[in-house]
Amino acid sequence: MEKDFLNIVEQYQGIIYKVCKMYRDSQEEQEDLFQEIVLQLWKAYPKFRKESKVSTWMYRIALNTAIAIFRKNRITIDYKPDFPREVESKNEKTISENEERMFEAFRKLDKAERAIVALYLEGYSHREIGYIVGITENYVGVKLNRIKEKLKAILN
Amino acid sequence: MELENLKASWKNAGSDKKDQNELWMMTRIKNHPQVKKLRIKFLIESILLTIFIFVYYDGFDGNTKPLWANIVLVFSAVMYVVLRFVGWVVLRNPINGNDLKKSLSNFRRKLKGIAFGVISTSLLFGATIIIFFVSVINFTTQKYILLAIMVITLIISLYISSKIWVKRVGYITKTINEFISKGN
Repeated sequence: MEKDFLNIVEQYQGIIYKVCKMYRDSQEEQEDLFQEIVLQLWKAYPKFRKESKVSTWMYRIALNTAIAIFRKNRITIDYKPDFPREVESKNEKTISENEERMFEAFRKLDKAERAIVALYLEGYSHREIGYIVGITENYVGVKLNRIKEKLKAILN
Repeated sequence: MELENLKASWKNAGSDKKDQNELWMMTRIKNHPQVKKLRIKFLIESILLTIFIFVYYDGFDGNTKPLWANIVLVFSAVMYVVLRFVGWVVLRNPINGNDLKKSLSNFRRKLKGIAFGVISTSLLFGATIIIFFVSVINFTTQKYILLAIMVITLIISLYISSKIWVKRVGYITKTINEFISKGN
């Protein structure tokens, strides 16, 4: 069971990474949340009957953990190096800058909106998002329109 | 920039991969500094209270106090530890339903129950300790002042504790409302 679990988490760890980036500001908090999500997944794994997709199960646990687990208020120092990292190519730098900008914009949304955006970008249908979040399919559409407007204002 | 344009960035995000050994380490509580710290704090509190229950009778002249004061003191100390243990279990299990909204609603219900339990057992334990020590005492002005300080300290600690719980429950309520509201 342990081996199966580790294979799954290794394969789908991108989901955990993205949820952490969406719900926590500093790298330290993101690392803490990553650990917490893996622990919650491990606890939930014996009950996972594989009736739903692995990614759906992981999103459900990861989003739930990110929202419900309390964090201590910390004073965070946002460290940015003064000089460019030599090993990072220009292309890689542009990708990571775009990624950072995207997550920064997402963190300006409320917590429910972040969950809906994550599922939408992952390619879930409105129906599936509604099922994971617990709202109707039509309401997902309404929420997504609001989110699109909000993001346009944040990013432009 | 449109939401559609972010799909590619989203797909490519998270290229740094952790290996299976790192992931395995994360499944062990002893490797979680925050959780470990909270668990140690809870264990120390429980051990100290258990020691207190075993030594108070001789150490604080339990034989000179009324029987009811002894019984209530032990009962409230046990309830204090039990409720904190239940609270710990609830806080460490945030998954409480098949969908996010339902899970958060169930979590909030449990939090409200635990908040009530933790605050009432703190009040009971604090009040019992005060009653235990003053039950067979001849009051002087100094002792009245000491009693007043103890009562004020208890009230302040209960106020701080209830504020923390109200904040926790409020945070979950706010997120549940975000799922329901049409946005702002």
